[in-house]
This record gives sequence, structure tokens and C-alpha cells, in this order.
Amino acid sequence: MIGQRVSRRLVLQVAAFGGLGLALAACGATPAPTTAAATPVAAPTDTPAPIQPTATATAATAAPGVAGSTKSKITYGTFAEASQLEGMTKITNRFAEVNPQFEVEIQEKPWGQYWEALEVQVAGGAPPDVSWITPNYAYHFFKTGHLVDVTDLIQKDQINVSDYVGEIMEAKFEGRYYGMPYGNGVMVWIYNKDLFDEAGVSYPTQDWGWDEFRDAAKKLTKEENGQKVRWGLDMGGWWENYAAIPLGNGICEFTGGVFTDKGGYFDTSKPIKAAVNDPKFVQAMTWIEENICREGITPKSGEVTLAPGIETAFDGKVVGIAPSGSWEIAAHRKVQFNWDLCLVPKCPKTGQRRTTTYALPHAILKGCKNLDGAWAFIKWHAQQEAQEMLAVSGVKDPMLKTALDKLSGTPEHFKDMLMEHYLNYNWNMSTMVFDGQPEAEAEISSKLDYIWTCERKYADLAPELEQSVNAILEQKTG
Amino acid sequence: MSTAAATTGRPRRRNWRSALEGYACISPWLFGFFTLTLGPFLASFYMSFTEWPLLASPRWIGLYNYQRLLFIDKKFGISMFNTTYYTVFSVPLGLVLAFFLAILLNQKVHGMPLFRTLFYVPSVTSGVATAILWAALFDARFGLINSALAAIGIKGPIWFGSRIWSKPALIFMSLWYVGGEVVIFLAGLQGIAQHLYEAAEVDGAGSWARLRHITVPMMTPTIFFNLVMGILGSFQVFTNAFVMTNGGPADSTLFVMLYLYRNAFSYFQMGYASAMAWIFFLVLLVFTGVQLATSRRWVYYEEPAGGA
Repeated sequence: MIGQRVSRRLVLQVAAFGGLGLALAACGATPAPTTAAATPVAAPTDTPAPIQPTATATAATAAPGVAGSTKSKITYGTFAEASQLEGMTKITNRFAEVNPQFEVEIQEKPWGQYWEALEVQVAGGAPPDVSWITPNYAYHFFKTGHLVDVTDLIQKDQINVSDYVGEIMEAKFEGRYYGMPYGNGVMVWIYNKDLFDEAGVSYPTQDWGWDEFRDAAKKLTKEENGQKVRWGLDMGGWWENYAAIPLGNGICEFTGGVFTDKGGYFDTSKPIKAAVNDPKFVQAMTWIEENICREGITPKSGEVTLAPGIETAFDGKVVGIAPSGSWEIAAHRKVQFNWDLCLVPKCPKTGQRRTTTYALPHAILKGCKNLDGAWAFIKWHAQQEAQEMLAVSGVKDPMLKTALDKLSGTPEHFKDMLMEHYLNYNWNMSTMVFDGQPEAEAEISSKLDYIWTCERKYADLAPELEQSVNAILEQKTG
Repeated sequence: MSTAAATTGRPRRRNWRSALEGYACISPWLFGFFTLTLGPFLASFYMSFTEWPLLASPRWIGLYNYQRLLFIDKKFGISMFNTTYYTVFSVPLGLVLAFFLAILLNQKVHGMPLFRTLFYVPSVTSGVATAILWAALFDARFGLINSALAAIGIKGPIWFGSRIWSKPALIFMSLWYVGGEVVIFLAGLQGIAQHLYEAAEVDGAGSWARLRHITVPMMTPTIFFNLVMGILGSFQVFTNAFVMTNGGPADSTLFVMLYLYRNAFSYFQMGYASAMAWIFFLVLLVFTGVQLATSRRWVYYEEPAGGA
């Protein structure tokens, strides 16, 4: 009936403007989530949706004599991977067991969405009570005034900061503490012993330099019917760390690292500028480029393909050596072949070895609902029992020195190497965060795609990259 | 008409009732717009003139965000180009395929409801699940697409590892979603009066002539509707690039919505992202306006007798 009164022209024109209205809705204060829904099918994980409790990780174990309704809930934000959650939950369950007045709700998000969600939660005044916060993000939240200063609590509870490796928790700013130690992780290389055996290559030793790794990778690389089916040395999604390794270890004599304030992609002396055209940087990047484009021992971007259900090229036995992290050991335990770990190569000229160490403090963000519970939680996680549990879990390496010798999540011989690393490492974990850094890094990342796809040579790209990164930095810093 | 209305009052009453019915039909949308969208919409306009890093208060910076977008930020230009490229190819391809499928599904053969359902199902599956499925199909080594190409002697590219092939791959993938357009076309086809075809047959018109001179002209309002909606949807492409490529390689799939999202939620430049949304809104407004203006030349509306 209506169709007889309202013309088709009007109906379709109204509908068309209705469609435009959807686009208009996309212009709201939070544009992306709504615009995503304007595509034919809305995707539930497109946007940083509110963190949902992880059912399996709720540590509300029934404590004897304590009614569930009287428990004080602690929300715990983490970017732990699935392989880490099991070990993590055991530790939080233990916390709830010895602190029956509390229950813990783990809120886990993938790395990519965790920080976006956390920022929005903080802006909305509802962060988790305790959060995993890496040092650079800790600095970000400190700078914007959202971290809780725990210095007085540390002093009141007489916590000895020298009990921990490195600079305690890496969340110390302007002489004050803004977090408590939790876990550590170190960049390592993992290798498939079976593939080494098959190729007749001896296993890497801690004295291997870059040339030895390249030679081994050549022998591990394999072709079938004119098609590459295996590569010796992977890059994975670790481009920045991958680049950091040769940079950090100086190919050669370059003392920087991506995330250290001694160098890497940025020259942090004021004003901050790109260092991507530094001759040493070019040399290091060229080494990587040669592996991909000349030697063919490292796959190009998108060249490695995996059978369904295989998560990484290493797990799929498509690469012989791959960058990894000590916190990924739990994930590697499930693979059905022999593997081992080694530290990244030394610089042959200097004999020095530098690698990236990832400290992970627990921090409390302002606006959390349970400050007392949060402090009790992070304090307990920094003490002996929790740190020992962490040492055997494979989730992270402990930061408490006296718990280091309990490391059992790693292959036995590697434990000694890790201990040596953590106890003797010249800690220089960066808290370098500056305006325009994410945009500058995104620009570097997108331009380096030309190298990963062998479309351009880094030496040719470097001046252009330097210019575009400096333009971003200048624009941001005025 | 106005004289008659003045004389009797009946047409005016009828118009009023007609308008009321129209508003009733769109009232759910209006309710949503006024309660949920209008506030953020207006707020975003204000924010577009500010620097707002989310965790601090907005700071008024006048037109700088717009100046930066239009004259400084090369990536915005790249994202506009990518989005336009995607739209220019995906919309016509989608329309042609949907129209063809709708004609097939309009045949009177046994089990047709099942086929219609099958073609529509992809449109209601999760965007992320679809993206993962297509990533497997485009896999350089194990993927079905490259295997099919290999069967005819063509070495398939590394689809998402190549600046050249990444956008065509996403365009090809967009055809997965034509089910929605098919349903609308199907409704349009079923609304065409059968006597037109019967008269054409009597005059000796073949199937091609009937398609060209009856079906297509009678379907122009529906084609126009799908065109407008398709362009709006394509311009806002986000999910597949977000899940499958994250804008790479080398920004070749950096679409406007993805770049906007990055600015808002990775760089936390809410003011800048708001300005981007407003520029983009104006672009879509102009596009839609141009389409509406030109539609009078090629869209045929069959007005009812004594039409509204």
C-alpha cells in the first residue's frame, strides 16, 4: 500500500541517503569501529572491543572459609599468548589460594589490540587493576600522568630492589618507581636439530659469528622441482628485532639496537632524527637483504606458506633457524621434532654480543577499582614463590635473582646461558618514547616492505627513507 | 493537484498520512541516529579542529589537521588512491556478477530456494573468518587459487607479498560478498511485470533483446540503489585489509578507513582522525550527490498511475 503512495524514486533516494547516513555515522568520535560495520559483514574483532574475561583463567578458586561474595576482585590485563595462559593461571590461582580475600579475573587480549584497548580503558577511567606494561608503554602512561607511583609502598613494605636483575622493573622514572618486577624475556634463536642432522650441519655454538650462520643456512635451504621448500634462516614477523640483531651486534662495531637510546633507527640526540641512512645501518640492512634476495636463504615476504593448523614457519619445519623469544619456549614444547636454542651471534670483530631483552613489569594505572588488591597482587608476584613458579612455567623468565636458578622451562644447557645473560647483561633497556615514534616506525615498516619483497635495494632506499622519517619527526616535534 | 487539494482537502490529508507512514518506517534508524550517532557526529566535528591524544584534554589548533591532511600527509593521499582503485574495480565487478547471479536465481528450476540461500550465506558470515579463509585460498604454495593457475600453466604470484597483486586480490575477494546485492536484484527482477515480456515475445523479441530492452531498463532503479550502496561500502573497506595485510606490502592496501583507524587507535591522534573522517564524509557526500544528479538521465522509474 505504501508503495502506491510513495514513489520508487523517493524510496530508493531515501535509501541511498540512508546508506550515506551509515557513512556519516562513521564520522563519529570513534570512527573505525562503526565504519567497519558498514562493510557487508561486520567483523567482531575489527575493533578494540571491551576486554572479556577469559573463562579458563579466572583464578577465583574456592578458598576455604571465605564466601565467594565477600571476595575482592582484581582484574588483570595481559597480552599473554595462549601458550602462556596456562602457566600464568596456575600462578594467579596460587595467589588466590594464599590470599583468599581476593579473586582474580584475567583479561587477555592479543598484543595488537591490547594497547589500543588499554588506552581506551584508561581514557574511560576503567583500566584493569593490574596491567602488563612494557617499559616504553610504561613511559607513555607515566608521561601522561596515568601510572600509580608505588615508591612509598615499596619502601613501606621494605622490598629490596637490588634483589632483581637489571634496573628494577624498568618502570622507574624521575627517581620514582611505577611498577613491580614480573618477568623477563630475551631474544634468542631457535633451530631445528633434525634439519641440521639431515643437512649434515653441526649445531650452532655460542662462538658462531654471522658468517657461520649464513653458511649453515645455505646448507639448510632446500629446493624441490625448482621450487624452494625450505629456507635456512627465517625472518618471521620479527623484522625490527631481526634487524636489531645484526645492528646490535655490529655488522660490525655498530653499538646500537632498535629500541635502545644508543642508536638503531633513530638518532636520539636532539632533535631526534632518523639514523636509517647511517653507513653502518645500511651495512646491517644490506646483510639481511642479501640473505633474502641474493642468497635466497631467507624467505621473501609472503613466500613461506604453512599448512592449515601450523602457526609458524619454524613449527612447520619450513625454516631451519628462526628468531624467537625465551617466553615462547612453552609454545615450542608441543612441536614434534628436536630443537634447541642459542643466543644470537657475536660480532666477530669486537667479540661482543648484544641482544634485545624485554623486561615486563606489573603496573597499576590510575582509575583502577581495587588499588589495595592490585598492590597485594603485584607485590606477591615479585616475591620468591611466584618468581619460582614463573621460572618453571615457560611464561617468562623471573626477574628475582634468587629464582633464576629454578629456570626449568628451558633446555638445561640454555639455562646457564640465560642466567649469565640476565646477571651480567649491560642493561640498557630503553624508555625512549618520543612524539611521532609510532608514525615514524610505521613509515619504516612500510618502506622496508620493498626490501622484504626484493623490489629495491636498501642502499638506494635509505636516503628516501631517511627523508620521509625526518619529515614525520619534524612535523611532530615542530 | 494543488487546486484539487484546496477544493477537497483529501490529497493533502493523504500526503500527510503517507509522510507519517514513511517516518514510521524509518523511525528505528532515526531513533538510533538521534540517540547514538548525532552526539559523536557533532563532537567529532569539534574534535577535528583540535589535537586530542585521548589521554589528555583536546587542544584547539584550528584548521591545522585539515591542512596537514590535504597538503602534508602523503599517506592520506596514498590511502585515498588505494581506496578509489579498490572501489573503481570492485563495485562494477560486483554489480555485474550480482546481476548475472540474480538472473540465474530467478529461473524457475527445482531447488531454487536452496541455491538462493547458498549464494546469500557468504554475506552473513563473519568478516574475520572470511578473511582467514581467503588468506588460505590466496596462499602462494598451498592455496587453491595458485593451484588452479598452476593447472593451466600459470605460476601464481605471492598475492599479499606483492604491491602489484595485493589490491587485485582484495578486489577479487570482495566478490564473495555479492549475496546481499543478489537478493536486492532478485527482488527487483521479480517486480518486473510479466506482461512486458509476453508482449515482447509476441513481437518476436529474443532473450537478449528482452534482457536489453526490458530487464535492464526496468532494473535501473535497483541497479542505481546497489551502485550507491556498493560505492559507499567499498569506500569504507576495512576488515580484509586489517586482518589480512594490515595495509601492506609497502602501503599498497592502506585504505582510508585503515589509516583512520591507525591514527585514532595506534597513534591516538583522535583530532586528526576526526578531520580525516570529515573529509572522507564530504567526499562520499559529493559522490552520492553526483550519482543522484546523474541518475535522472539513466534511471527509469515506473510511476504508478496518478503517481505520487
